[in-house]
Formats: sequence, C-alpha cells, structure tokens
Amino acid sequence: MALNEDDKAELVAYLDGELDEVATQAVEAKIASDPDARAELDALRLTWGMLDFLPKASPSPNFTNRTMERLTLEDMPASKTMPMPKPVPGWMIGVSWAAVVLLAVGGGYWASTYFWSSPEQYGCSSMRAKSTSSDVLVHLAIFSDAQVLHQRHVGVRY
Amino acid sequence: MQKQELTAVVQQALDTLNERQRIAVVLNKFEDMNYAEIAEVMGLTTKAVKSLLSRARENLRLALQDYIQMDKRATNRR
Repeated sequence: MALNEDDKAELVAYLDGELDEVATQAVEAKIASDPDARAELDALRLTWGMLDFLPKASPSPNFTNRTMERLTLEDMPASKTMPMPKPVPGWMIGVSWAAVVLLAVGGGYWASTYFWSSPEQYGCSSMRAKSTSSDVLVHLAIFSDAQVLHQRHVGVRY
Repeated sequence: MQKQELTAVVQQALDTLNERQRIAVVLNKFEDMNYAEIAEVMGLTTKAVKSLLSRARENLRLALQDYIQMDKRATNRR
C-alpha cells in the first residue's frame, strides 16, 4: 500500500525515537503488515547512515581567538565605532550666514538708536523722560523762545 | 566505490536540500538535537520540524537511491 506524507513522517520520527508509546506501536504494526512501509523504513535508515561519510567539520586552531576578537569588537561602546557625521549641505551654510548678518545688522541698529540718540547723552534726560503737560508749563520760557525763533525763521505768526 | 567518491555523492545529495531542510538535518544528525531542540533553534513548532525532517530525508533518499541499491546488492552478494 502506498505511503502518504503522514506515514513517511511517522516512519522518520520512529527512526529518530521521537514517537510516544502508542504511535511507536502503531508504526511497528504497520511495518509488520506492510512491505512498502518496511522497504521505505530500510531505505530511510540506509540514507541516514550514508550521511556518516560526510567529514566532520573541525574548527581551525585560531577559531576561538578570532571569535573572541570579533565579539570584543562588537561589544565596544558605540562612540568608538560611530560613523563620521554627514557634511552640512551648502544651502544650510548660506542660511546660517544670512541669519548671522541679519542679527548683526539688527543688533547694530538697535545699539545705535539706544545709545547714540539717548537723551542722557545730551544732558536732557529729565525733559525727554518726563515730558508731560506740567513740564511744558515749567519750561514754558524755553518753548516760547523756540517759538519766537521759529517765527523769525519761517516768517509765520501764531 | 571509494570513500572519497561516496563523500562527494553524499555532499551533493545534501546540497539538493533547501536551506531549512539542510539546517534541520545537520542539527539532528550531527548536533544530536531532538525535534524540540531543533524547533527552538529554528523558531518552528515540533510538528513543523517533524514535517521538515521527513521531507528532507525523503529528498535524500531519492538523491541517494542508486547508491542505496548498489549497497543492497553488494550486501546480498556477501
């Protein structure tokens, strides 16, 4: 009787000693009653035995040293094996320089307006800082003089 | 047949297996691992290993069929 895949798998497992007691008895019963199963079992056993002709691989004498060296390298901290950073693209350098120039120009402008036109520089900080209507009255004489000067210069009467 | 020739023939038969079958055969035959251990190493179920080894051994049987017949005839003659 032809063997199916499951039958063959059972025969192989039987040869490998991987079957439980019940399955082992079932296979043995089949072998006893089925010549095809018996022939298949013999062929599988012989095939497996032929693998003994393959040479056993033996590692080279320095295999252990090489393996340990490789493991040591793989265990090294990431900083020692970290790749070089990628180069910065040209456009990013341009943008950075533009930002620096803008900051310099803006900072310069702010500094010039803050320091050079500061009232303190001309000694009239109190007038500029506290220029309210009451101050105008206090310094009315100065304002009047200025008005007269302006009228003379422009030729206008108020 | 010389042992060297036979070694080459068996090696060729082993090369006909796919990678998973070959690994399972090597672990079972040469590392003496049982199905559960092979299943753990290969990340498979025990049932899958059983099926894998069955197909592998069937393929080996087919590849080595002629040599097995020769061996049988030689045995019968003795």
